Amino acid sequence: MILPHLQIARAHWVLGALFLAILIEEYVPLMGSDGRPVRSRSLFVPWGLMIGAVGVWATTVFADVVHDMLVHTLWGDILFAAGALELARRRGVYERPWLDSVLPLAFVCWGSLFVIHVVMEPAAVGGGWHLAMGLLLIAGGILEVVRLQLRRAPRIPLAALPLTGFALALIVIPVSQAT
Amino acid sequence: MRAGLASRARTRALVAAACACVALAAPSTAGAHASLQTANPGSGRTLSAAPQTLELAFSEDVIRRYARVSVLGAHGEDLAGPPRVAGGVVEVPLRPGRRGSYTVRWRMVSSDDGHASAGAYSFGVQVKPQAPVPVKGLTVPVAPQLLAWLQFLGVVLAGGLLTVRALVWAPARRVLGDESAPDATAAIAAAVVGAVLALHAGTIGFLVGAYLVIGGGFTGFEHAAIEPIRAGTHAGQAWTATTFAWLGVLALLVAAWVTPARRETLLACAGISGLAAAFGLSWASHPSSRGTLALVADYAHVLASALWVGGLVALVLLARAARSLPPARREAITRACVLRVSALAAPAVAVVGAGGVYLALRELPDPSALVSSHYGITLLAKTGVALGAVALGGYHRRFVVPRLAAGTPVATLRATLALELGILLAVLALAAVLSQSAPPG
Repeated sequence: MILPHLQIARAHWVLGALFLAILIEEYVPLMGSDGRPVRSRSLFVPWGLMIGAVGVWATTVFADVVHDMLVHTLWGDILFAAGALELARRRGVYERPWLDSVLPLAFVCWGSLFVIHVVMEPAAVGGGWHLAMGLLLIAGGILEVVRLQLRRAPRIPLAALPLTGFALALIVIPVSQAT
Repeated sequence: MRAGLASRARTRALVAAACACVALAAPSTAGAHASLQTANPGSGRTLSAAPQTLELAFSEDVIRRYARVSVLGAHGEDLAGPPRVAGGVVEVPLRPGRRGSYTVRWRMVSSDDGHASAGAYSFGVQVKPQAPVPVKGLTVPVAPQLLAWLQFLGVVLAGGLLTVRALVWAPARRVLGDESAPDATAAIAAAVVGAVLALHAGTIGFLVGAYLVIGGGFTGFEHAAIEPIRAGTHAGQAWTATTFAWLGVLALLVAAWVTPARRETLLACAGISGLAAAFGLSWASHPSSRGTLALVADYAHVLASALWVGGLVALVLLARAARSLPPARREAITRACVLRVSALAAPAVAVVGAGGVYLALRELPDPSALVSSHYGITLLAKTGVALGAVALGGYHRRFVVPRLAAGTPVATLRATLALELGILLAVLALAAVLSQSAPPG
């Protein structure tokens, strides 16, 4: 079985929707009983990341060319590691200050892999979009890292803009490119 | 109130995002490189007579000047004539062939984007096709033996270690009273390392195997069509299944890490899944082509080896983790676990020996092959080193275990236990070399 481009596009669509849900869960403000914003402890985000990792590894297994396999292998690894660390943090099993940076750094890594994907195959279908989406992820990740360093962070982080743009692009573009 | 509103808004948003997953439409496909769409004879086909032509249809037009096709028989003879190209269809006249398995190797350059793509598959004439043969003289910077060894280590650390822990720790806990296992975190870490090693060594190993078959340099291989090798060979099928199995093991390990209340149950499930994933190693090995009994013997050999070595790793981890406990407690826990591992090791060693002898008899055409072939010499070396581990295990069981049961401190066992483990890791390395060697005849 080879995954035709349309199936791969559909997989991207599902991943885009999953990513959008993760963003909403992570960045829509949640108020505690005292009216102050609190960080979500929902397990949706980490399990979403790990399910996404299995989906990306499935692309590795069913990819029809080698360079797709290589890129998606790294992608899956980063998704899975980020999901596992987030899960441990939200369950209170493993809490360290640096864990706050896991998601933003994961965004930067995924963005970099998008760019590498384009560099490895510049003439591929949707190469320009891949590049733009990679840059959106990198921008979102960096903005989020900067926000974490600020004492008075805005209630809705600026990083949500490029990251939402990325999620919507992931939903819309692959299918339109493949049809 | 505000918290409730925010929570409801969040739920609605999540539901809306999930709904986006459902509405997947169904239009047509698009292509990139010249990928093989259909072939006649196709991958994995068995024909009643040798074909006179080979037809390959690609997703894009290909450049005639750069079209390369070979059809190699068992003795390296190439049946392919000069290819005729019409758009994306390549027709190759074939010289008369005999009964046997044939490897089709192709390399094309797309006239659209100028990129090279390559691939290989096999078909059979009056016989079931074998896996495509590797390109002669091709070398890779990563030793397949090292990758096989890392996969064995993964099975030991994730499958053997966790399964033995489940068999040993639960009864020991019943004897000693309800107490959390001191080595659980170390066992999870070791199993994660094992599963990650097995997952990635398996992927790299599959790619190395595919590269050796397809050939054509790394640049061409980057765009090689991998699907016929993944779906049409035991190595590819095993890799497909074990990749998902190892991901499942990793998910169970993460769940065990974050759920202390169900940790031991989840670790036991991960251990059994790790042992199940080891079937991929047997499915991709030489014995799998020698019938069901040889395949079962090989799997039993691998499982028993994983339990034997995994048991020793479990004891080493336990001894280290128990250092933080009060001396009397430490002594009681370690003694109970050593005695149970010793009881489990004896049948495991018996299965390893029986499976090994049966497989040697199936793989070696005659006794002289033991000293006249690379495979036989490696098998002899592996058996010799394994006998050293068996002798040390026998010493433990005959002399040390009775003393431990009588109350001698467990510390007396530490040095010889580490030695036995070291020897067994060397045996695994020789087993990895053996798994990558062709049996004689």
